[in-house]
Amino acid sequence: MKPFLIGLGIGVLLLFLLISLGVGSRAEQPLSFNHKKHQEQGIECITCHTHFKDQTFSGMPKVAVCLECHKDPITQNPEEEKIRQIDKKGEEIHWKRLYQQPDHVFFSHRRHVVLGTMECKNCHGDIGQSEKPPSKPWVKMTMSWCMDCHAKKKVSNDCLTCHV
Amino acid sequence: MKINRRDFLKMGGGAGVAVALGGGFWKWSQFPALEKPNEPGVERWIPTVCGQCMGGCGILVRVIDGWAVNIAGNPLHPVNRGTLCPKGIAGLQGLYDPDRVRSPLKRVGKRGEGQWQPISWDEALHLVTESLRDLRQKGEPHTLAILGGRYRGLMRTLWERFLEAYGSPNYIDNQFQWEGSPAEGLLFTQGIFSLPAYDLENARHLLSFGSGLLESYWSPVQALMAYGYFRRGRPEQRGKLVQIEPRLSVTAIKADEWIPIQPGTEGMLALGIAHMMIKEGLYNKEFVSNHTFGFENWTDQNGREHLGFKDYVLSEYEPQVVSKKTGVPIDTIIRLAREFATNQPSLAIGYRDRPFHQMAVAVLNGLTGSIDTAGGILIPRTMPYQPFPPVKRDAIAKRGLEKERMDGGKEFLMAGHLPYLLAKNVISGKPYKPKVLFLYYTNPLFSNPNPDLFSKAFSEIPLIVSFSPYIDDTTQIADLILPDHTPLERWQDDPLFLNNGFPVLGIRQPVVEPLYQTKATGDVLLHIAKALGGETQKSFPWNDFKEVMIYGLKGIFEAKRGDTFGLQFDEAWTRLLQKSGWWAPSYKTFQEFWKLLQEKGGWWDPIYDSKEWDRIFQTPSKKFQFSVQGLKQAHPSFASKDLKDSSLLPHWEEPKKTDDQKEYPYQLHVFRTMAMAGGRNANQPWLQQVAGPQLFERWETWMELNPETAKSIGISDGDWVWVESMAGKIKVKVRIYKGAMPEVVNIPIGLGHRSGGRWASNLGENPYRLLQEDLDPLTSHPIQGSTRVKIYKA
Repeated sequence: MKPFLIGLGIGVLLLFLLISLGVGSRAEQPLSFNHKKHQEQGIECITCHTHFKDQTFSGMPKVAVCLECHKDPITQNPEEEKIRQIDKKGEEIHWKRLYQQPDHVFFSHRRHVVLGTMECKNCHGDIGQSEKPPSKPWVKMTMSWCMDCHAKKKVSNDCLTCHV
Repeated sequence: MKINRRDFLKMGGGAGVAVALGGGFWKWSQFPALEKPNEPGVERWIPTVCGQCMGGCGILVRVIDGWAVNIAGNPLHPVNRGTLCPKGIAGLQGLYDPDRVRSPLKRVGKRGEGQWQPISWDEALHLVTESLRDLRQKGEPHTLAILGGRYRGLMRTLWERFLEAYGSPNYIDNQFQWEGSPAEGLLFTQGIFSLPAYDLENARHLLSFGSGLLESYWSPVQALMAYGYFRRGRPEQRGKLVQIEPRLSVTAIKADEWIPIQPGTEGMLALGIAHMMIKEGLYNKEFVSNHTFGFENWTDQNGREHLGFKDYVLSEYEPQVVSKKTGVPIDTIIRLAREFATNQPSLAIGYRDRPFHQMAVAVLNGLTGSIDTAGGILIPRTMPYQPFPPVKRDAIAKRGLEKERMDGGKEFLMAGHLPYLLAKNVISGKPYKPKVLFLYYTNPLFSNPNPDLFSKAFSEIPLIVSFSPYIDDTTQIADLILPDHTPLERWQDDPLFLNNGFPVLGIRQPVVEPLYQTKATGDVLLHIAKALGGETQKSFPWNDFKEVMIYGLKGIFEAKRGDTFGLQFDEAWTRLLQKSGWWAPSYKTFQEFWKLLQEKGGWWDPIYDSKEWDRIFQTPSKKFQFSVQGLKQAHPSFASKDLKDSSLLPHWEEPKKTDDQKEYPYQLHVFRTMAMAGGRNANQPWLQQVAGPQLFERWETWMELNPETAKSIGISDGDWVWVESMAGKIKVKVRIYKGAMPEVVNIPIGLGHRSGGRWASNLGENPYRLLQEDLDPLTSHPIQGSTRVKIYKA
């Protein structure tokens, strides 16, 4: 019995280590997209993330957007070939979601970008300079994190601001 | 420590179990569990019209992924220009009420037991149609009665058309008395049965006889915006508001002067003020001589002399007499009269009191000539709907329509139909008993005194069908429920007008797909009409209510007036053009018109044409009446040969003295707060939470009592007491309030439902249960201040 219990203890310790190190909970994107390279080409954020000015969500590019340039190979990068492979299969790119709010929070990109004149990097970090897609959110977006910024910017922290 | 192989394996097993269980549990507890699809949160703002009361405010509903999540005012809608009252946003709770009726229901068990069986729409419609067909076959179509409450627009036209084609004269209004403005006052003085438009923004002096201007006006947001403008919108001019009321309400607090008065005697005070104005010659002699009838004594075509208003009021309503009855000091009466008469434009407004008391307030405006002028009483144009083709009545319908109405009235002329009389007649069986009753937007067991009378009457009716989306007090005893959509889920037209007389047509459109298997009652009615066949079917060539609306709207398109909603700047421009004879709307074709209606929220006509006397006075004399003429068919008492002249003039009507004043020492005064105005929102927690803003009362019914009165009977703030009248008793919480007159018990209405969902049921008390049968004979409404009560600790 005793060895079993010792083993249990070691297992719990291992589990704790694994979880806190985040092993196995990283989001691996289907394509290793290089934001910096694309930004250097002069591509605007809105080309791929089309809805941050008019909707609650921002959107991820459909494969058709990528194909505008990558219909034929531009680079030697094997990642680029993946785009054409996905398109050949007739599928969309299954981007893994990093930023998500619970159902009772009605966040709106439009309000923050258009009315609040905020930039992407305020909440998502300087993602334009990243060479690999992020595997986890730039910051854990808790309610207190949001309310902190609201208080600093003197924007309403009333319940109805975010929850209706 | 020496570990042998067995032990090592045991350890490994333990570790494996830990990781497996722990890891699995951790993964399972990840929140949120489901990943959102690629494009979540598609947001739309859809314009529609709020349905929480009769205010008709335009709203924008924020819909995310097909779910309504927020309601804000529509900045383009002229009624509220982007603002909203608390009832507006609570409309979401009306939509999401968990106790809503989700499909047609059929009663199982006895009436009132609350046992329902969900049935399909096919079955429900079949049941109703069969009963109606059956009645027609037996030659008894007149035994179908429809009790309708307060709503506007083409639905009313549709119901009346249906009854005409079917063969029944029995459309009976059962509207909660307090939801209306003084329609009877306007009917008596100008011959128009409608709500008057009070040009509040342009008045300088507002004399309010108990009107709930800042809390429970029929269109609350409009009144509040008008009040703001009245006070601060005109540079150098701050309007004066005088509130005459037994209780210190919100309106009284905001007024420049509060005149406490014995409950129910506001009409008497109006007559006293009229007396002073006439005695001191402070009335508009030019208007009175040119545009009024019945001021001076007059001789009719038979040579008979009749008493005019002037002589009557001068002899009967001396300040001493009025002061004694109302409790208002004589010099106050004189001062009020002088202020009212000399600060033009002035406006006298009131509440839905007894008809002749309403008239007493209305004639004050006649005396100052504030009719059809800025700051006075305005008559808006009617909505120019396309007229419906006449109904061809078949033989059965003709016979049915000739029968007497169940509530004793032969003509529709009289202001309110008489639901109370209906109930009595049903019990007595005279003239005949109804066989089928439809309930639409009405809750007679809640909004009438003596609900037991109504339940007794309804128990005599074999089939009761309710269209309510909630199982309210009356729907509880129905046999079939065919649930309507809530206002956020349906198409409807909402015609109303602004304070300055501009007609407005709001368009109510569905902002979400219906949550449940409900059907718009308009569509249900069309379906029933079609199923009945014959002339009934032919009279309803539309497939759904939306088509009916579009049909009616063609008239507005053809009227070549007004425009769809736009910015206020556009309003001034449109008006300028129209006045010069140009009409330059934002649309050219009907398709464009319909599209804009849905995009902007509606249409309006921002012009008020004054001096069109045919529209202003629809009386036999074509003038403002001080003596009610032309209403002989409205009520038997008007046609009596021994009718005294004074009975047709505004006069004080003494309530019946049925109580022992010693045993019931206090007068009951009922009032409404903004959250509960509308009479239909007790099932919304947000409104319950703000029910009584002045004393921070919520989620229960309270009573406001004068501190001296309370002390004299040993009652303290927060005590629970029984309030008992001859009709019944209720238990309420006492709140000591200095704004309550001594010997007067103030209780708010709105709570006290016996049914209606988890939040409305058995919450609070309904002071209507205390009201006795001293009802006004013309309207069958209870008389404010006539009920007396006693209170004792619970």
